[in-house]
Amino acid sequence: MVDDELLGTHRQELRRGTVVLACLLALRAPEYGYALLKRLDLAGIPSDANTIYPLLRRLEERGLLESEWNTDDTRPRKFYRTSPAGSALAAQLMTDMTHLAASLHALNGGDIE
Amino acid sequence: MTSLTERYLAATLRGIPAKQRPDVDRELRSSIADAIEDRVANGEDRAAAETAVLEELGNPTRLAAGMTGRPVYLIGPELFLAYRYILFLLLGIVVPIVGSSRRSSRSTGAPGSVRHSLPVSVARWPLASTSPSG
Repeated sequence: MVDDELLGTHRQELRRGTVVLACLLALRAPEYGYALLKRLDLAGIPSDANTIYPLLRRLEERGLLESEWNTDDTRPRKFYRTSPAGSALAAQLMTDMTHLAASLHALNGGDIE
Repeated sequence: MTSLTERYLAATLRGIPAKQRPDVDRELRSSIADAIEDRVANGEDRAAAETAVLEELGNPTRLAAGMTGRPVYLIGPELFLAYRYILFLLLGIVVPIVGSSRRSSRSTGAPGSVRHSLPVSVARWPLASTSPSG
């Protein structure tokens, strides 16, 4: 039985680096902040609004995301889309992630549990 | 939008550079409205939904810091060791000087002279910096 608090801390640590990758992958189809949050949640990557909203801005600033205001809807929404640079980064990170998972499985004796 | 959301937005925007403010304002406003509508659609009371959404977003100063990429600490891990070194170095220098000059001023009967040459606040500042900063 693992202590809940301990598990929570380490889980958060483990997921921290994957949120960026999740956003870059998800936003290959344009989405606005709140919808992205819901989408990540459904995909099994629950994130906090106060993590995602600032992250979107920072990724845009670094040229990994592009944004566009859509004012056709009931309320104006800022849609984000992964830029070519973001897609290239996501592809590389995804490869690393797959290797990392394989390495961990190997260390675990091939036991997937 | 009630005054609660308006106040939250105002508090957040204070921490955002003026140039980015309109864009952050517009986006955060619609994000908050989206989240509230979603909760209301699930049967929540509107006022309760608004409070819950804003609480989830948390401290507006922290949110603004995240948006601008600024850290919410003064002395981070990279600086901490140098900070500690200089703090103790200064403690080792300043405290003996203030202590000895106070003693000598008392014996020579020149009240206040030390306080002017070396403010008491200088000797106290490390203590002030360790107090909780909220």
